[in-house]
Amino acid sequence: MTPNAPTTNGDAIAALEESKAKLQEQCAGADKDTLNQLMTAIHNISSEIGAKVLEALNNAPYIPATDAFKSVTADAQDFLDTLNKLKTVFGAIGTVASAIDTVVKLITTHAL
Amino acid sequence: MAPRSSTWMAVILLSTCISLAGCASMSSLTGPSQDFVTAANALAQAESDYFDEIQAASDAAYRLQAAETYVMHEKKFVDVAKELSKHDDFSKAKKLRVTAMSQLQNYAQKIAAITTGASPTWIASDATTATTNIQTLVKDAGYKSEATFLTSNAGVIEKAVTVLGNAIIGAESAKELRSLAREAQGPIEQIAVMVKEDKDIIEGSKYAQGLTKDQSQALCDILKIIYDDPKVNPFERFNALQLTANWKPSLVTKGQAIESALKKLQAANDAMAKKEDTSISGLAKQAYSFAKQALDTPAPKASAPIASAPTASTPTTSAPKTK
Repeated sequence: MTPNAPTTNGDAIAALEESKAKLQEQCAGADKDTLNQLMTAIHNISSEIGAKVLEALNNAPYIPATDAFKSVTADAQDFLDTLNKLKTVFGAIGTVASAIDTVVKLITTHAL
Repeated sequence: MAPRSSTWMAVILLSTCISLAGCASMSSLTGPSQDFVTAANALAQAESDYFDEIQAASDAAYRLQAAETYVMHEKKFVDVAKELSKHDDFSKAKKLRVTAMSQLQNYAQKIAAITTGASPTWIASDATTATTNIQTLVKDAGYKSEATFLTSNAGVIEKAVTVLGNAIIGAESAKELRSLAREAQGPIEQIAVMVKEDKDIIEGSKYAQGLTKDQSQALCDILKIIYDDPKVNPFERFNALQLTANWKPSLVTKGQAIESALKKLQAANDAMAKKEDTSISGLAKQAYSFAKQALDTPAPKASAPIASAPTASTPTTSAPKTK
């Protein structure tokens, strides 16, 4: 490997972009034949860059192959189920509290 | 003795529930959890928009380069047609990211559901319907000082149930949200890595910038070809210039929105993970101590002034120290 060889997809694309930019700088002062050659070269480099970018993005190993949030989402759902059970329990307790109040009222009313 | 015990228990419950009512276990997490959901949705939208922008800029660059070849008129049309059909399809790349984002959003929806579910509004608060029961009972039993105290704190049983229920659910939800936030740090880091790597490929390599440059350069070249062509008259050159006067290239700009949303997502998750809920923990222990004290301590005499009981303003004075 040479010292300046690209080491990543990004580096390879950057090197091509740099080459393309240098060709583009020459377009304004070029005659017709030279411009035609420059355009062809530039278009080819653009296609090459596009293919490399697509390959890098489509086969990106850094994207989780499976749902990275699967476990934590399942845990969250489990707690939601627990939360709903707690609501049911406290709903029942609230009902009992009302019943106790009613009983207390009866005791008070009838001086038991 | 039952009325005295009831009164004492009522006072203890009231003190406890008023203490717990001041606790804001969930309220301290509501903001971060809402921020998390908002940031997750913003990030997902920005990712989708980002790839739409890339697709549009790529298509525009190829189209203008093909137009450049067409205007130059130096190649066979079959070659021009090949250039006209050039297209890089970013739909797969977009789908991979959108799928990852939908998994994040799916998790964020659970966080939103927990935050909403922990809201205190669900417990019935019709305590006022039974407000006079304990007061009447105590007064009839001859404990006037206690009855006076309870007059201003009616509905104590249901209030206690409501507040304790909210405190328990709030505390459990806060604890779970912290736990989930810590568990989510790994997956969120994977998203952060994805964003960084994508940025390196798309922007670090100057690819996105290159797409803009390709468009501008192709248009400039087209104008040059027209300008240098001796067969084009001044009127046609002027027309060409007019046609391009308001032209703007397709840009790729959503990278910053992605970074901003990601930072907000990480900050919100960190805020949820780091929140120490010592107050609810202490109050829960205090509530336990009150209850234990009520069971262990004999009820006060009928003539004892109410001031000797733990009051709402000094709930901790009679409470044993919690560990």
